[in-house]
Amino acid sequence: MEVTAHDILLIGGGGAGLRAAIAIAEANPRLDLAVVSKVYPMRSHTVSAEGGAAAVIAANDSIDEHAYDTISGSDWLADQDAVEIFVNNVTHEMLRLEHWGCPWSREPDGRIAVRPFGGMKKERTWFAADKTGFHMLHSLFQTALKYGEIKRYDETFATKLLVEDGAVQGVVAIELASGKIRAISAKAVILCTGGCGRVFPFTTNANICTGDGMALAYRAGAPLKDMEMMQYHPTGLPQTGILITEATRGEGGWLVNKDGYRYLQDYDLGKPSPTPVFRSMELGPRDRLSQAFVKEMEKGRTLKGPYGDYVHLDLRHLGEKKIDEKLPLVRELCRNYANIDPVHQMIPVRPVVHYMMGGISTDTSGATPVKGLYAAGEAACVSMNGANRLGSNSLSELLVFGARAGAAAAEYAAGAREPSTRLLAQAADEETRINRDYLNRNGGRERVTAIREEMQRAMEAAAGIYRTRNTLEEGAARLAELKQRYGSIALDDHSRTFNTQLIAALELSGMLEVAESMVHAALRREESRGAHQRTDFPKRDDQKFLAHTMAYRNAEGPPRLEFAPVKITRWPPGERVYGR
Amino acid sequence: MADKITLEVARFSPERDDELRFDSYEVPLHENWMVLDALNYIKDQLDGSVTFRWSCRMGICGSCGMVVNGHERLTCETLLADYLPGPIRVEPLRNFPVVRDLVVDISDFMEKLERVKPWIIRKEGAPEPEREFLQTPEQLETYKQYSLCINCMLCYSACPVYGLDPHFIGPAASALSLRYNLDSRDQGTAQRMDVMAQHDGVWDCTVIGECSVVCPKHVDPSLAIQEYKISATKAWFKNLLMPWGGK
Amino acid sequence: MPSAIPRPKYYQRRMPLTWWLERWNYTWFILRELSSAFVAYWVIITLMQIAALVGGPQSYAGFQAWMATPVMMVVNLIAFIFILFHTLSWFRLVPQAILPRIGGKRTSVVVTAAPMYVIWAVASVVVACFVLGVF
Repeated sequence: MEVTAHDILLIGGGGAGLRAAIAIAEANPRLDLAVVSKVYPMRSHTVSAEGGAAAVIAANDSIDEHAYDTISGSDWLADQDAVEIFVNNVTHEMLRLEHWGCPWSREPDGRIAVRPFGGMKKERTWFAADKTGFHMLHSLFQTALKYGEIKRYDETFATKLLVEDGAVQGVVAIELASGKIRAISAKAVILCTGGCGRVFPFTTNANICTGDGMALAYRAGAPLKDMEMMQYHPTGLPQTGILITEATRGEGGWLVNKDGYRYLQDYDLGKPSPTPVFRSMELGPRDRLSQAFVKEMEKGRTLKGPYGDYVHLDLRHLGEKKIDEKLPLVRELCRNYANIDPVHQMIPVRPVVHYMMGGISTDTSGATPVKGLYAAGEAACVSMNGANRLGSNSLSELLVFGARAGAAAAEYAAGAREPSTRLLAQAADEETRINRDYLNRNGGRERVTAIREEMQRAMEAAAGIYRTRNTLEEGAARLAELKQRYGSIALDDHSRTFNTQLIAALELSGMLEVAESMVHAALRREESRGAHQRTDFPKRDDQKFLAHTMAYRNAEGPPRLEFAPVKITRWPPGERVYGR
Repeated sequence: MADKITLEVARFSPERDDELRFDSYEVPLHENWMVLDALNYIKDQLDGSVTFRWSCRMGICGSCGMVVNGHERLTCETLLADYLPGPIRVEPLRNFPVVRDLVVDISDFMEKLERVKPWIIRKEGAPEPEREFLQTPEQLETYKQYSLCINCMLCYSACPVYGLDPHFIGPAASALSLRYNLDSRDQGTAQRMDVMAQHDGVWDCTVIGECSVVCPKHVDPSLAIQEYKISATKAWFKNLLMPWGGK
Repeated sequence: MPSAIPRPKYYQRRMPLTWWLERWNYTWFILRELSSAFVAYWVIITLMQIAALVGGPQSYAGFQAWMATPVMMVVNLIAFIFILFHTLSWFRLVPQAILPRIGGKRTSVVVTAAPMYVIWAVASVVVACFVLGVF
């Protein structure tokens, strides 16, 4: 088996991974680092983000207000030390990205323009038209090309973390093009693999968002934190789930039900006004808006379509000029995928699975409890976003915590020992496993597609916007059964060359574990907070549950759940108020 | 409307094939399905070995470029029903080596992308502002179009020059190079000129223009190359007449 | 930022000699390039015409007789069609190659192409006036 050695590995080449790689190259140019990504970096899901990235820049704004908006937005589950570090560093990081060429939209005088966004009291969301993630990712990727020290393993899928003496020492990975399985050793590994929306059937997430890094860390003994906190974005297109950015509401769009009524006013989100009001109505937080949709649906006030219920997002009053200037991608998406022109017609939308607030538990330097293992971005849970993330915080989070994880890993790797030679045996076992259980296996009755689709249906039923003990227990049972059935999986594709069915099967095994952690964490949290709403426990319970759920993998059965305290610094838990 | 349509999908597996062949599949014809949805149906329900790249399914990641009935398309943006009654022939991008089925090797493109130095270059010792570089909307407008490239490589597939001469730097790399030249924050035009003003740089282009025709994001790389030729010529004359000055 | 991966066996397709027949835009391109040959032909004919003029009325009459033969009529007609095609394809090409900015905004294809057609029309009228004896 081929073994290559580096000092640090980045698994995942999206916004967080690339920012971390640049941080390492700058901190210590003598470190040998490599980005291992299952897709070419410019395909990473960061590319799909639309609306913007938040950082305080306006004269009338302050980082304390950004902190308060984030913490209250998180329903007080965010660790406030992490939020403070975020708000203290984010403007500097965003300015660095601007210096690196990111084409931010501007005011007439040349200054960075900012737009209103959900849950924010001031305008602080920087934007590049409505292709912010695309421009950020390409700017980061192209800037990273400057650093010759950053090597890449493109289209290389990491299947397992190599752990020796309680420390992570590299990965086993499949090179897609050749099918070769290789061991890549490193003193430190940073997981930047993004979210896991594909455990659900209806999601904004790309095909590649399968929680790979979360599964890798989970299997290596790292806990997954707050996995019950899955965000539903209020406005996705029916059928495809394609994201219609919150910026549509930031620029003044309205959500109306089948009677043309701006229904959010019935849900303690304020009173409608013709132009957007901060932290009110359509600029409320995403969890509350998605919950309002469900309530409208129960009242029979949503529209019925071939792909489920939906409501309308009305942008017609914004005018063609504003839409073409600030929301051109939205217009294009509506025309291509919804057959409507938002300048003249209302957009059909419904809540859609979008973002995982939870993830691999890290401290504020991106370090997990496993030595040598770090994480950043959506794959990680610091926790900055708690029980609900505010829109536009995640793109800027990538920069702050990507850079911090990179710097921390660089410091650690400079002093760490060389990886042990016993790794080879572990890696050889992994290669044997992949050949035996997938590529060379005949017999086996289950198909990847069938198990994946059943998992998705089970998750939708179990852990939707509203959950209850029954649905969750049912879901847990279904997932346990699916995990068992997974043992009999058979592939149609036995080629070694670019075998995407093999990768799909490996991704599915990770998704089943991640899904299980989500359902069990949701069962354990017997309260309603942010994106986690229990109809059997409808109130927030700070006495018992002002804490993070920590899921530890248990080889014999369901995960072991523990609690970890939330760090409160300057903002004692209070009532979460919008619209008043 | 018919309820089924046939896809003829290019197949190639190095373990088994010496050249490209085609397999036919009949898929249901849903009203809003894209060609990519049909390919996924084939892979999920009919033949799990059909191999292709895809990710975002919304036309922004650039993964799913293929040749559909002889024309370069992003399959996630290409309506199945537009090809009734069918059959629809789906092939890998041209001018790149085929790795497997509809997947091509893009390492040549990746090398060219890096070669044009697609990052902000500041002159040695040039001051950087404390806050943002000021850049007016008009300044942004000069390069914005060229910054929209999603690296889907439909343009390289459509360009006969690249097909005949793989050394040609190509449309997307040229547009990206110009994007940085035109960015008011950049000072690296001369450095990129060394790469671009070669005979296998922009001068290889014979203005066929097919790259701009197929570009799904309206980047217009052909225009970028011709702009580049003009600025390369100006730079050459400037160098000739004033060899002592400039960057 | 070098990639660390070696390459397996690929399938390399060759461009066929008839590549330019596969798509109308490619065929148009080849015809456009070929039409330059006819422009060169016309330049040579014009030089011959001038030489014949310089050579005196008899020499010029010989030239005109040559031009009036059926073969030359056909050749010149084909050349004229190609030169017309050359001109129009050039006019079509210019705004694809240059779209100047006026006041920060790009001019449209129509605005960029229009002056060429106008100048062509005016020049044609002037030449026609000479030929028809108006001047």
